[in-house]
Amino acid sequence: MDPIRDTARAIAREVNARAVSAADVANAMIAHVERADAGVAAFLQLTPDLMLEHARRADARIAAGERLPLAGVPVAIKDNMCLEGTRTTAGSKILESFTAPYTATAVARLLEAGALPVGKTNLDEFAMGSSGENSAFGLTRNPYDLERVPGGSSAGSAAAVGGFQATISLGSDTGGSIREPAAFCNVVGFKPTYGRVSRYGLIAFASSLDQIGPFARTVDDAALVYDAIAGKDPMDATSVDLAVEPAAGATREDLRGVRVGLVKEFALDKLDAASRASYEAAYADLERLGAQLVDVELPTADYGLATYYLIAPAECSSNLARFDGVRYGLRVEGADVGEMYERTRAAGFGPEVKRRILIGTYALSSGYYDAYYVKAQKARTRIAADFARAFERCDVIVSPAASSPAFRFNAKSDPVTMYLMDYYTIPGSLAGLPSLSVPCAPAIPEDGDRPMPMGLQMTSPLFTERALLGYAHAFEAATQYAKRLTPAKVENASA
Amino acid sequence: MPVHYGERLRVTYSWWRDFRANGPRDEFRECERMSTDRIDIRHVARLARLALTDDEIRTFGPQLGSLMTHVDALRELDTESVAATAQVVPSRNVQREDTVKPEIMLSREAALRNAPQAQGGFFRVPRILSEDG
Repeated sequence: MDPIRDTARAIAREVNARAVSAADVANAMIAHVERADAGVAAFLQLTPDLMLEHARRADARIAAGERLPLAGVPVAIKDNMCLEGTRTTAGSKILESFTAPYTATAVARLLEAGALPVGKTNLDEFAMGSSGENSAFGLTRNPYDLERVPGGSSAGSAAAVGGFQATISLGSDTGGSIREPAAFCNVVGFKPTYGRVSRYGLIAFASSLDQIGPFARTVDDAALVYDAIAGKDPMDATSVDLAVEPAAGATREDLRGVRVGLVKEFALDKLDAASRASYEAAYADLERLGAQLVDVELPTADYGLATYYLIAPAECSSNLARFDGVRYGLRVEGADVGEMYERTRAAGFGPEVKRRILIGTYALSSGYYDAYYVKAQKARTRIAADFARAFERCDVIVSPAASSPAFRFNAKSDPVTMYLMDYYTIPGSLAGLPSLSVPCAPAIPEDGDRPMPMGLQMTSPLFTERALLGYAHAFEAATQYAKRLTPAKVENASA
Repeated sequence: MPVHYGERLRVTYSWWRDFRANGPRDEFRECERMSTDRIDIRHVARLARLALTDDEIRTFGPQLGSLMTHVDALRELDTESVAATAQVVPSRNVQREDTVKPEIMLSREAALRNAPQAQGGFFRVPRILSEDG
């Protein structure tokens, strides 16, 4: 068994069978990851001691007769999720010295299932960004081309799995922060229905949109993680009390009888030629698998960005009010408490976070609340209604996950240009729908000469995760696109 | 209703049409020009408890104006008889028993461990009331 390259399912099977110990897997990954991460810089912090401690615990439980669904599986955790006793920064200077006093429910459930924490991964500050370039703690590089972004905001979690520095990872998705970096890094990224996975211990960005989900190199592994973390949590009142049908292993090999919706508003003629060819091939693959392609309309999809860039900043400005230098994080002294607040926040937040706090504060301010925030909430209702109507005609909607392959660093300096990266992922987020990105045919970027990963987005009705993962599995099994690429050699790193 | 409403809307329409037809582009000069000075960025920063440098005011002011111009596209969407969506899942008014559960509480020590300043089991903050307040 290869503890670095094998799937989570294969590792767990071997560890449960005691063919290899979790400690062996941990030691192999610890020896590998430090060198492997030198070029990619997916991690803000490695946690080898914790990894070994959890490995010993897993081995002891298995020796006592337990079977653990993720026995000995190395997992990377986005650094906006709390892991007790470790530094948890959300990629922000304001939390540079924050030590988590408890563990997030999703993380705790993974560890309880036998997974081993490799470390905490880099992200756009407070998960605000689409490229990973907004972290206060340096750049993470795309493992398939170190001159390009890994995508964001779950930059390190996508890069770590894509670059074989962890078998699985946890990310969070507010407007595309799992799906877009998954597409860029050649991995499966899955955002479950809003409320399926507890947000307890996730540092809040936009609470009505934030959702934790897995990255993995196979759909089946993503399903294994989903099965471990999904379900009601009394510590998160917005987590939904609905039975979770196990999704792993419930795989299908074809798409006969499945109606796949192609969204008129997401027509591929907006894309560059190589990206368009990748998606046209993917749609043909779906048809070859027996799916019936149907045209659907989301007339309000074009309002998604405008709606999102009111709602998400509004909720962010409210959520981030807690960072005031009193209870945790950075404090910069001032003559009185007001000056202390203003200086602390000025020194602690980076430019993108400040920008979104300002947008949100403006949109919620007296005189504009109805015109902006309430209007956006109503637009959100219409967008969700459009999806509901579309799902009367189809079982799953497919589209690009991003409008291009990974771009070069500093390629999108204008904030609005960057916001457009989320064009395809945001409407589904506003509707709370389960949505994933699965690798499709690699494409050569317009400004490059070798193929880079691409992701096909699949979105299905609320709480139909099991079916959605099944469709993605059929596509993956028939195409195996991810296997066409191998990560760049770390030795080639120019940084 | 802010002034220049019709003009901004015209620009925004054409921007969305252009995006629909041509995809993302790097130039937004037209909209930048429309950013106007309608937003008092200093006032918004005060509301947000955020001290901004002059440079930041010069940068964020137009950026905020430009973004708000884009979001003005929402005005053309009919939401007359539409309810606002605060969140999308069916839960309503989730409550729990009003009892103390020590097993899910942080100890006072743990809660204070990350505090920039603590004293006598409390968070310590600078003076809140000025002498004339």
